[in-house]
Formats: sequence, C-alpha cells, structure tokens
Amino acid sequence: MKTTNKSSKSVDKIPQICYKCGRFHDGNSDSGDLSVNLSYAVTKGLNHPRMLSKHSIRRRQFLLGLAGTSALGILSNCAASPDPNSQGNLSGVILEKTQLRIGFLPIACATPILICESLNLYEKYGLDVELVKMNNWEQIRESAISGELDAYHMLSPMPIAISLGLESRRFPIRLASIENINGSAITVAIKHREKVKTAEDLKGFRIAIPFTHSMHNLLLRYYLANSKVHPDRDVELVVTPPPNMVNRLRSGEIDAMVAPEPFNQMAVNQGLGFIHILTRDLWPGHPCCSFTTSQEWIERHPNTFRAINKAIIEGSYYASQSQNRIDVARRLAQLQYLDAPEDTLRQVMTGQFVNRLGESLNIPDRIDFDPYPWKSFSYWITSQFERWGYVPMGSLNHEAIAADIFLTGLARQMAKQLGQQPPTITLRFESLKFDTFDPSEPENYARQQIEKLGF
Amino acid sequence: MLKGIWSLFSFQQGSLRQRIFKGYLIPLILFLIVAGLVYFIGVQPVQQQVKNVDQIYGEIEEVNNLAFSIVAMQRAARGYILGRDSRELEEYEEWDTLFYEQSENLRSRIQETEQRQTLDRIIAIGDQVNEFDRRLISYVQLGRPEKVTEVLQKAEGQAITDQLEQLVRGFEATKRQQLNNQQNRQINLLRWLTILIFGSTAICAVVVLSIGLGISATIDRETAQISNSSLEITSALEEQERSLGVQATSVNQTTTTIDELNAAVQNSTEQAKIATDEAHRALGLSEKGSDAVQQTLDRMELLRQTVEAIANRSLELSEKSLQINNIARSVSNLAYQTNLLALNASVEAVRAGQQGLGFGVVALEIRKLADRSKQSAAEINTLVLDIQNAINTTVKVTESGKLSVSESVKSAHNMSSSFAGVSQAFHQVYLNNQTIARTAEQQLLALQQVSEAMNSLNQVARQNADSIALLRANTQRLNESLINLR
Repeated sequence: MKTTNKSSKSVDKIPQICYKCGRFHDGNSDSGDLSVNLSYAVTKGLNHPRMLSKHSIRRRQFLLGLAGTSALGILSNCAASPDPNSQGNLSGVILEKTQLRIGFLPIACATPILICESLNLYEKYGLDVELVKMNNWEQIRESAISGELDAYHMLSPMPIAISLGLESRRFPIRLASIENINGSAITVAIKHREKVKTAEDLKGFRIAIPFTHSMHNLLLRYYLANSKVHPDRDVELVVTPPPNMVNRLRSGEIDAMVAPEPFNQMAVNQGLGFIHILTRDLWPGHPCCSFTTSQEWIERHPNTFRAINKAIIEGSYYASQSQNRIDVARRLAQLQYLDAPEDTLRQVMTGQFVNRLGESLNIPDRIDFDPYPWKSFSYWITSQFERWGYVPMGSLNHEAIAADIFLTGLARQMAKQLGQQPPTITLRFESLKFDTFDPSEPENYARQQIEKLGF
Repeated sequence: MLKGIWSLFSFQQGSLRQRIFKGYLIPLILFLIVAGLVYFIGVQPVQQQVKNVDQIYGEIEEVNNLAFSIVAMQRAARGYILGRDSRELEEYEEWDTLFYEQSENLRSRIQETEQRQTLDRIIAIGDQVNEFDRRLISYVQLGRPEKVTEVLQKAEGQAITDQLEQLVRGFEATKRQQLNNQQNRQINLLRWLTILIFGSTAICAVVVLSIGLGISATIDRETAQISNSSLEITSALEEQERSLGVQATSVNQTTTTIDELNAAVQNSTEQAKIATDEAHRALGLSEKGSDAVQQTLDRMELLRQTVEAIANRSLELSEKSLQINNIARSVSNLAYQTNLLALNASVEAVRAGQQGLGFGVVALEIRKLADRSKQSAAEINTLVLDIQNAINTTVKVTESGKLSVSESVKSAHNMSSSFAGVSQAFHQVYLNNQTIARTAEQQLLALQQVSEAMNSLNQVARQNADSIALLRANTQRLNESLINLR
C-alpha cells in the first residue's frame, strides 16, 4: 500500500470539500475535526508549561485586539466558526500577486494543477490562474529558467537537474509538491506483443522517454539495468515529447515508450501497443511529476506561493479520493486540459483497464496523488544522477540537495492546515522492484547497484 | 458658494440667533479642527505609537517565541531520539505547527528590510532545524540510530543553535532600539499634544470670550431697547387701560342714559298713547260739543224764529193796541159826548124838573158811566200805552233778542267752526300722537338694540380691560426677565 498523508481512518470515509472553511472533511465528521485538534492543542498548551508562550501569544493578541494577521488566530477562527465567505487563503495576508500563469504539459500527471482550476480552488485562495499548455519538457525548462511564467508542472527530477545546472544553466528551482505518484508505464508496440515478455526482450529497442531528467528515464534505466540490459548500450533512448509518443509508436519510429498517461492507455485502446509494465510495479508510490517554481519567485511572492501551494495540495487531495476519480477523468478530458477521450482517462484514473495482453486489470493506484515530497525521493533521484553519470559519482550531497529543493516542510504545513495528517518523517525505505532504497545511505546506493550489476 | 459661506460667518448680518449660532459655530468649528488636529496629529499617532510599541513588544515576544519554538522543536526531537517516545513526536509536530504559524504571523507583520532579513534567517534556521531534526527522526524510525550519532558528531546542529541565538539577540537589539525611538517619539508627540490642546483651548477661549462679549453687548443693547419698548408698552397699556376705564364709564353712563331714555321714551310713548286717547276723547267731546252747538244753533234758529214771531206778534199787538187805543179814544170821546149829552140831559132834566129828575138821575148815571167809560178808556189808554210800551220794550227786547240770537247763532256758528277746528286739531293731535307712539316704539326698539350694543361694548370693554391687565402682567414679567437678562 502506498504511504500517504491520509490516515487509514479517513480513507474509509467519503471526504467532501467543505465550502465553508475550504477544507476537505470526512463524510461522517463535520468541520469540528480540526477545531477539536486545535482546541486540544490549545488546551494542551494551557496545561503544558512549555506551551505557555503559545498561550501568551493568544492572550496578547486577544488583549491587544490587533487586526487578525495571525495565522494562528485565523486558523482557529476558521475552525471554530466556518464563515461561508471565507477565502481559502490566510485572510489578512496580502497576496503579492494574484494573476498567475502556470505552465503544464497535457498529461494525467498534471491532474492537481488542472483540477484546481476546474474546481475553482485557485479562486478560493484568491488567485486568478491562467494555465499555459506546453508541448515538451524542454520548453518548460527554458520557460522556467527565463522566468516566463510563475509556476510549472515539471518532472520530479527536473527541479534538481535545473538547480544543479545539468544540461542547462544552473537555476534554482524548488519542488513545492509531488503532482502524482505512479501513473506511467512502459508500453511496447503491438508488433512486439509475442516477443516481449521481460526487460531483456527490450534489447535493441528504440525506446521513447519524455526527458532525460525524468522518472521515466530513471525507472526505465533501473528496470533495464536490473535485467542486465544496459540502457545506453543495449537500447536506444530517444527523448520524445509525450504528446508525440503515440504517433511515433504508430509510425514505428519507436518500439516502446515510457510514457505518462493517458498515452499508454491511448496506445492500448488504439491497438498500437500493449502495456508491458506499469512504473507502479517498478516502484510502488514513486514520484512522477511535481509542482515547481523558482526560488527567486518564492522569495518575491512568499504568500502567493503558499496560497498556490495550498490550492494544489487541496486539489491533489481531491484527485486522490477514489470516489472522485470518474469526476476527475470527466473534468480532465476537456479541451483546455488534456483533450483526451474521457473513457481512456477513466481507465487511467480508476485503474480498471485492459493492457492488451488479454488481462483486465484493476489497479486503483495505477495513478495516485500524494503531494508529500519525501526527501527519500530526492535522494533516490540524485543517486541515480550519479549512477548514470549525469554527475560524477559521489559529487552530490543528497541530503543538502533534498533539503534545498524539496520543500517538504512547507508542503507538510499546508497539508496540516488543510486538516490532513502529513507524515512526521521525511525519509522512508523505498521498496523498488529489485531492491530497497535506504535513504540513510543514499551515497552507497548507486555504488551498490553498480557493484551488483557490473555497470 | 464662497459668498454664501462667508455670509455665514459675517458677524454683522443676520438675527441675534443666527449670530449666536455663528458665534457658537466658529468655536465649534475651531474645536472640531482642533479635535481633528489632536486626533490626527496627537491621538492617532500616539495610538499608532502605542500600537507600534505594543507591536514591537509583540514582535520581540513573538520572535522569542519563534526561537523558543525552534529550540523546543529541537528538544522534542532530541527527546524522541533518546527516548523513542512517540508522544515526543506529537509534541514535535505541535511545535512545528506553532513555529510555522508564528513565522507566518511574523512574516506578515515585519516588513522592514533589515529586520525582515533577520526574521527570514531565523525562519530559515527553523526550517533547517526542522529539516535536520526530521532527518534524524527519520533515521531513528528507519532503524538507523547510528546514523543519528554520525550526523550529530559532525556538529551540524550546534552551529545552527548558536546562530539562532545570535540572530534573536540581534533582532531584539534592533527592536529595542526601535522601541526607544518609538518611545521618544511618543513622548515628543505627547508633549506636542499637550501644547496643542492647551494652545487650542486658549485660542478657543479667546475666540469664545470675544464672541461671547460681542453677543452679550448685542444682547445688552437689544435688552435695553426691549426694556424701553416694554416700558413704553406698559405706559401705553396703562393709558389704554385708563381710557378703557373712561370708555367703560362712558359706556356705562351711556347705557344708563339710554336706559333712562328708554324709560322716558316708554313714558312718552305711554303719555303719547294717553294723549292719543285723550285726544280721541277730546275729539269725541268736541264732536259732541259740535253737535251741541248745532243743537244750540238749531234752537237758536227756533228761538230766532220765535223771537221774530214774537216781534211780529208784538207788532201786531202794537197795532192792535193802537187800535185799542183808537177805540179807547173813541170810547173816551163817546164817554165825553155821552157825558156832555148826560150833562145837557141833566140840565134839561133839571129844567124838566121833576119830570126830568128821573131823567136827571139816569142822565147822572149815564154821565157817571160816561165818566167811568172815559176813565176805563183812559185806563185802557194807559194800559195800551203800557202795552205799547211793553210791546215796544218787547219789540225792543225782541229786536235785541233777535240781535243777540243772531249774534248767538253767529257765535254758535263760530263755536261750531271752532269746534270743527278743535276737532280737526284734535284729530291732528291724535294722528300726531299716533305717529309719536309709533316712532317712540321704533325708538324704543332702536334703543334696545343700542342698549344691547352698549352691553356688548361694555363686555368687550371689560374683556379688553382684562386682556390689557394680562398684557400688563406679561409686560411686567417681560420687564423682570429683561432685568434678569442684564
């Protein structure tokens, strides 16, 4: 099972957006949840000697009757008496910028960014967001470096690569939250249906990857390498913009593709290919895409950044709920979003699909949404950067990079404010198909892989 | 527009009320301006200062709290790492939430670049501590406590804490400086405020006094004038009251006179009635008199006729008497001749002697008879003479009677005509009296009306008097008020 920021309790319940206080609540509990939590905290604060300072703040605020700029005050206000007109953002906090433009690639990974617009969550946080559809990841990278737009949908390794200056100018990008986990697959052209059973069967294939610094590339490499297929020598990897992948598969230019959805399912439904393996099966709960913006932009727009971040995390939570998936598919099918067949998207979102190998599958977490940026994700990515020689072996301080780029703390605070229970820890063992990633020794992982596999 | 506004303030125009209004308006506006000044120059900045000071204290406190949260977070993390007590983790999350809220609160409150930088660094340190601690906690939870020791031995954490303390100290020092500045400014402002208030009060006092004096002078002047006017009114009222008294008396007198007149008229009406009646009776009487005169006249006629008849008989009588007289004379003559014959017969009888004696005796007797006849003739003569005389007298009386009867008739005629005149006069009197009575009645009616009018006049006069008395009382009070006003 995935490890998400949701408690197992809340999974069973039907969460609903509470339009009063702008949070999701469990179906069988009301907005009292948070207030109970808070009042518990306050009560505890009163009783706990070390919490006295917190109490004194509240008292002071109360006594002074200052304009409620206090996030604490607002939070408790919202919890205690939900105001139907309350804005999702911290009222009293001035947004530095309200008209934002967000760049995205029309793939299912962008779901939280897109669903926020469809659900008017941006408006709720006082933002007027224009979604800018991009064609490929390079375009997004160049746009981000030039500062063209305000925030971007990126592949999770991209902010690290750009911040490190890999294949581009060094430009600090920050990962605010993970857009989606899982949600990609290796799809092989239908002509190889009989031949391809294992990774070894992919040898000699021309395989499309969306971008060098993509989870798709890294996971494909991991998959191939663990099957003793050298990804640089035994196959040809061609960077292909995801929207072009299906066409390339159809034209036979490529034999396989590591594609984000809905292109795998689209290829299957069009009879062009079959799903060889879901990336979920390579690394259950692996990060895929992320919501990012530049460090500079965050510094200039701290409040706006928090607002947009919170909106995306809320949208992400909506998309994560299984009962919302059909609705998500319906919404995303629209022209301005993915412009894809709704049934295809439904198959992607519900995980009930046919893989063209005669199997009807039901994998609810075929794609999933958990915004929590585990630092171990970053460690794994940077270890793979070393592993594949994008940077010299041992040259990266995985902990420091993750600490800088993955804004886990803020994402946690946003989730906390939305009444969720994000994890306390930032690292976890990542269980992959062929091994387990130990985040306490990220520097050893790549070496061990090389030692184990011989390349 | 400007003119209008100026006219509002031009002090010489308008009624006293307007002037008083304006007089009050000016200090009011002044006070408003001063109040506004006090508020905007004094109170608001002082409030702002107080707020600022509070805010600075609050910020110092909150920054300390923020730092404390960081330290507490660290402590909870260490507690967990050493004791593996999951409650420490709960506490850690609470401190973490608190730290975030504090940092957000402070970020929204502190905008000054330098302090903001310090704050951002403190928050960054907090984030780093958080990051670091969570990493350590993660190691513990991943079952790698040796990694914790390893990381801690690199002393990554200690430097952070030192830095934090330094930053907080720096922030506090800056804030304290700010606080001193604020307090100095506050003291200065309060001084200014005091000066402003006293100064403005003085100005207002002067303005109010001058305006008040002006108004009071005006009021004095006006009061004096009113007082004079009031006195004049009083005297006029008194005069009027007096004249009203006179008028009332006159009216009373007139009423009395009219009453008397009324009585007199009534009297005269009655008398006129009586007179009319009398005249009527007199008329009746005079008519009776006239009738009587007519009767008298008729009798007179009869009398005259009788007198004439008498006169005529008397004349007849006189003629008869004359005839008697003539007869008597003839008798007397016969008696005389008889007597001469009887004497001749007696002389012859004597001569005849005794055969003439019985004839001498018869001739004596004849002579004697002749003598007596002569005597009776004489007597008749005398009687006839007497009757003649009487008849003459009677004729004469009759003549005079006739004369007097005719005179009587004449006078009776006169009387009759007089009676007719009287009757006519009485009739006229009667008519006149009737007219008088009618006129008197009308007069009476008119007099009653006049009397009523007089009565109402009297009443009105009394009411007038009452009103004037009231007016005078009011004027008296007005005077007293005016005395109070002075």
